[in-house]
Amino acid sequence: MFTTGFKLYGVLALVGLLAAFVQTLSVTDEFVGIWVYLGLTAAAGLVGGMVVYYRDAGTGTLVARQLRPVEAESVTANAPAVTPSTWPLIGALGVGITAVGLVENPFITTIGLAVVAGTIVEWMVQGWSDRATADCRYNAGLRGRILHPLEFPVLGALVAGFVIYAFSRIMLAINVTVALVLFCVVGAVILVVAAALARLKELSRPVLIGVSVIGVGLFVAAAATGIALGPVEHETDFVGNQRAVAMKANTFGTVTMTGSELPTLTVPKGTEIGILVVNDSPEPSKLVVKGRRVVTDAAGNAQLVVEEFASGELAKDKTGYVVFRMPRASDDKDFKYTYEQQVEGKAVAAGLIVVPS
Amino acid sequence: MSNHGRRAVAGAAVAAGLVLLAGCGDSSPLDTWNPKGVDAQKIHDLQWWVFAIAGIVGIVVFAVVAVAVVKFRDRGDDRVPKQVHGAPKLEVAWTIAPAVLLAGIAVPTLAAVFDLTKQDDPGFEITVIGQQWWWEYQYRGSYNGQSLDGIVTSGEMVIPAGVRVPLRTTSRDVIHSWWVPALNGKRDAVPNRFHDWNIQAFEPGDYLGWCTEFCGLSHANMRAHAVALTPENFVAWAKNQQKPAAKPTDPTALQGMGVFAAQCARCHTVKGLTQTVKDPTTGAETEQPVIAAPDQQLVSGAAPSLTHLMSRTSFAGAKYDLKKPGCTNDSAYDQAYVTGTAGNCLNRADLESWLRNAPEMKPMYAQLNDDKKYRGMPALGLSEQQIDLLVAYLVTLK
Repeated sequence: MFTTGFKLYGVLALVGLLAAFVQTLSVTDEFVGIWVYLGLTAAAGLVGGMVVYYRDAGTGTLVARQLRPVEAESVTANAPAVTPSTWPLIGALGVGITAVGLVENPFITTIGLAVVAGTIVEWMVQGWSDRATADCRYNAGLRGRILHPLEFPVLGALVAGFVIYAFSRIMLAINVTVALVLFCVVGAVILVVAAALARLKELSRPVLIGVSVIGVGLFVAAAATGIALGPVEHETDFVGNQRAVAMKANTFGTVTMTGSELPTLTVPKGTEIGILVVNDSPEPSKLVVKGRRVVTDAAGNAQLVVEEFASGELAKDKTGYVVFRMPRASDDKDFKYTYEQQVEGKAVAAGLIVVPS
Repeated sequence: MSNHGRRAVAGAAVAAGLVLLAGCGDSSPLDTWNPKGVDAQKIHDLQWWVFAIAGIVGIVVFAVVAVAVVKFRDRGDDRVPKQVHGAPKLEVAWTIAPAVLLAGIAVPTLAAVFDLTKQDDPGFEITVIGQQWWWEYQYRGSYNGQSLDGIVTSGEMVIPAGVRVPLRTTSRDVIHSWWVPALNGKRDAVPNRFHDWNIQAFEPGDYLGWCTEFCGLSHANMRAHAVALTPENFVAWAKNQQKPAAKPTDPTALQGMGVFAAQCARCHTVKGLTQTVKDPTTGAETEQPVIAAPDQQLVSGAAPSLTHLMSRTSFAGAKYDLKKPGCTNDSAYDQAYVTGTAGNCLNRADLESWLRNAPEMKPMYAQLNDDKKYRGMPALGLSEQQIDLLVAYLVTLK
């Protein structure tokens, strides 16, 4: 009953219906998208019904039916065996996703197009290999030789990407203590189940598939729950940019802003210096380092340039970071380096930075 | 045994004997089996333990292989040996035994790693900065009431004996690795990162080290010295290091100072060095400090400070001796670091050769790169007279 054409258009109609349903739930004042999806459903359903009625315009069955039994047997035996194909379903899914993406999000469109492109390649090669010889096994091998070098890396990357993404969602959705307990328990359960399976004298295929499906299902469910819950706010008092971890691991020293005079810092020249900044004064403050550098212009003239390096603005008891580099030793004139605590852009405390020569 | 076999055995015995004798050499300053500091001692103790275990394992493996080779050798009768499929006791044994051995190595190793990383607080620390192809040491803090802030040396790190000094290694160009085997293990010096480390020497002395991370053309010439002084001499050394260089009184040295200000001070710092500057509008002459600008001349942005050059015993990344050999072995060795090298001890030949053509003495990429900067000291094209004047000035920098 389910011809190739029907699979394609039937799934397309289902995707359209599903998208229309989701759109109905998520949108309150804009109905164009819903009508687009319903139109897609109607059109795909109509074409799907027609291709079922006409049996994909195929003649093979009719010809076989009109032949005498012996001839029909001969026709069937000599015809190449065609593998049942899921590609129409997947292709339709891809087209549907593309259509949904056109309404919702370009990223979804990209995924849909990728699925469609993959389907085209897979379906073409399968169609070609199915008719290569009358030997199904040989044809399957032929298909594998062509497509496995493509399928395995792509699938591997997709699975690895999914696992990493899923783990990240799960771990972001729980706090540190729960994560420790959860992963200890999950690890122990996996170990126990694996040990129990290893002790079985004979491991039946259904049991293995069942255990795997349950495991993967739980993992996917946990990831979906993590996505739904969203990341918890992890406890941190560090105000910095994405290099926060690296910077915290490479601190040259710590400066506490109290609103009074800052201590003299002695730092080496020509290396990147990272200072951990703690605000111990009530006002939101930032630490600003004032450096000097000589730059040479196009005409070859050397010019002294003042450079400022600043931490983010820190509320009381918050910690931040400032990174700077002093290319030349300090002196009492042009290369006198200073740093200051600023509140609303005004210096409330200052200190000296010494760069020995 | 045939004559051929006997000759082979004798040859092998002689080779093994020579290898063993090589271990008897006493002139091996980079020997890792001769610890002279508390951290090196920890590494040494761990090394012995691991070598003992590894040695026993090695002997057992060789013995079992030898027995197997002899006992199960082909006797020419084509008999199929007894086939064994599975031996649970044996399999459990050879799983547990390596696990126990590895645990026996891992536990003391981890303990040693954590011990070596812990830092004491003697009141000061030294920042070890690598660049192609020399080491710079910057001091922060104070020791026995003597401030060490602002002291910068190169080639030779000076420490008080018996004090475990915290170090921080970094680099100004590529990755280097600082290693003085008699005092501690290696620590990488990575650009824009600070890695904590320690150094301690039981007794006063000069301990040789080397860069152990390939860092370019003259990596093999990038040496380091850790010089441990008595606490009293260390304080005296620090006092001397914090003084600016005195203006020479000798007319030749004074002329040399002028050559230095014109040729060398573009990169090298001498604290206290001044030059007369004439105001273009008023015509008044004033003494202005000469400020080195290595950031505009060198890829690394730094050149060794020469303020107290003669208080060291080496130069050019510690590749060449600054003193004649007889002067480094006298009883007043520590004094060289306090008062500076006497003129009659100076290794004048090497120093003059260095000034004449440094890249010839030590391979360096001493030509301008695309950023118009040098990688190492270039040949300055000095005349012989200028070299003599410079040396006359340099010997005053004590």
